[in-house]
Amino acid sequence: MAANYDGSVAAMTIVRFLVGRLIALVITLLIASFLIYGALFIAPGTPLSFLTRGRTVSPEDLAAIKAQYHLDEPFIAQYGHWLGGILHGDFGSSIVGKAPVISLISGRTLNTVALVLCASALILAVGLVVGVVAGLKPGWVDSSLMLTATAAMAIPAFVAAIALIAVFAVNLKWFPVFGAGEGLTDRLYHLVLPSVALALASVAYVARLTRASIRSEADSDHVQTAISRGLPSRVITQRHILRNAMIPIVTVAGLTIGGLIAGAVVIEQVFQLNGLGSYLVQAVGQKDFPVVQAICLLLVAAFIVLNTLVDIAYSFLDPRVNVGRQNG
Amino acid sequence: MSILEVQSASPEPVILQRARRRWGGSLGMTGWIAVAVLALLALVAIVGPMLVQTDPDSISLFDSFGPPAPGHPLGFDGQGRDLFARLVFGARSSLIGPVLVVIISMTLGGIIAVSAAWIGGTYDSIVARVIDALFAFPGLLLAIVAVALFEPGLLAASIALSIGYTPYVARIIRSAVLRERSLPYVSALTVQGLSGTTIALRHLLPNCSGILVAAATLSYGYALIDLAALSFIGLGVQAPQSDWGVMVASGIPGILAGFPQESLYAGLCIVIAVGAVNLLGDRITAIAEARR
Repeated sequence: MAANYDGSVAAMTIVRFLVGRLIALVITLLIASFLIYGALFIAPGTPLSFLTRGRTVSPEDLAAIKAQYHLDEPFIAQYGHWLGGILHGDFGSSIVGKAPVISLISGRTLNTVALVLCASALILAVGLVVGVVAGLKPGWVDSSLMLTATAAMAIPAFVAAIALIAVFAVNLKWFPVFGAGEGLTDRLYHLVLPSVALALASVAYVARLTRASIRSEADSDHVQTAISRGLPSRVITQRHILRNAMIPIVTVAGLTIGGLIAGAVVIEQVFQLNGLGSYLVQAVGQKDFPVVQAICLLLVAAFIVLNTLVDIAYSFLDPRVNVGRQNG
Repeated sequence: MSILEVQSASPEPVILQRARRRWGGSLGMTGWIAVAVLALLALVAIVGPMLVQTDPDSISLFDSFGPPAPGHPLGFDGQGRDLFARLVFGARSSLIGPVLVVIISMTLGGIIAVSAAWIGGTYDSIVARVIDALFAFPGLLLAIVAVALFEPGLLAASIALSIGYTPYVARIIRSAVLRERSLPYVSALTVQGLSGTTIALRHLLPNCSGILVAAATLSYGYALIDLAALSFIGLGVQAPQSDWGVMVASGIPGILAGFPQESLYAGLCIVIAVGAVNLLGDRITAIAEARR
């Protein structure tokens, strides 16, 4: 088979594979948006009474909400208007803030992205290093590192956040307690404790996984062969163990980073970072449903896109997964 | 020694023998410690509130952040409420809420997965696609939307979380049942004329029980964390009621004032419970995989 594959055919299969993934991505995004919009109709009462519940609304505001949601039209048309608006960057208007949702969330998005990026960097750097060290150094180093990792996995992000605040912000006064900070360095400084809290359990998870992957690779036949051939141990470690062990780790690390998106909601709330997550919680409290819908859609979309990217990366990293062909 | 002999010679009920064959003492030291810790916590959650005489909600501002006193082993919170009583009463919602999540998600996921794996064909591939699409909704986010739709509280949060967990559970059960289904004994049972439902319920599911129990245990741990997190951000159990997640949040002013006890103790309870569940889940997963 492989001998018949010239460059252009291979390129065709890759293109077909990418197009397939892209179509699946769009379908998943459509389903997600449909569910998020449809949630409005699962709520108790009529959509209008749900959107205005718990507050006195002037007739003009009532008319504005009706017009924004096109409540006089059939459901599918309403959904179409909503989705069409979003594709043009129009997420509707906040009921509480009386401002376009897009202007309310665009500044906050940056805070969330910064938090998730910092936590991801921590997960990759610390998780991989700890896992590699534990995997290559059996004995007390390995067992104490893994014991710590197992314990760390049992600590929920918000408990870690509270503990970090108590120790490093209140007792030692090394870091600020709350807030997002001003300017680049100050912002990063404010993000240290939140990122550590958000990343902690995932660091432990990635470390454990890395260690397991390295161990199973070190026991494999090709490594034993390399040892019996008398290759230097540095070459065996770098070429034979690490390179192969990285393939499953990339996938899981990617998915773990996707999981941070939901975790960020809680962490932003603890540290009052004023990102999408803390605004989401605030909007739920104020029953500001257009904002809830917009933020949920953004977070879910980010999660879906990230998962697709991980999926594609995996297929290209592992030559045994045959891109575009069923079962090889 | 044949199986028949063992069964007739031993006075144990058959179900215990089966459990022993399946789990056979291989939980190990850590596994049994985890079981003991969880049993203790369950006992506290169930009978603790009946034994503790102190009212967990009685406020006395004279005792604000007071140190341990006779009858009050852990001292008081910022409003002078007894911390020990609040931890014991909080064990209920903190530990029983996740049980609800596990029961609902295992039932839904089990029905979907077993029917898909058994019926197969188009139905199975549609189910697999829908499961993949639902993976896009993190359980926590789904629960937040549900709370926005209905009222904040344990019930709405638990049900939404269960739905969020269902695709994960369904995927695990489906692959386990599919693997089991391809074994020759299933064709043998079909030839004997057993109905599909009987084979699925009496033979496939019991033979996957290790993986099912492992999945249930691990999702209990995740549900405990997620429900506590929801209560912590104010969308789950509501504030004056005692719950570990609520207590971690209501202890924040205390931390800033230099009295971290309330958050610390409640957080520690969560960490111990989750740690024990994770250890047990790891052991059960290892046993289930070794049996394969």
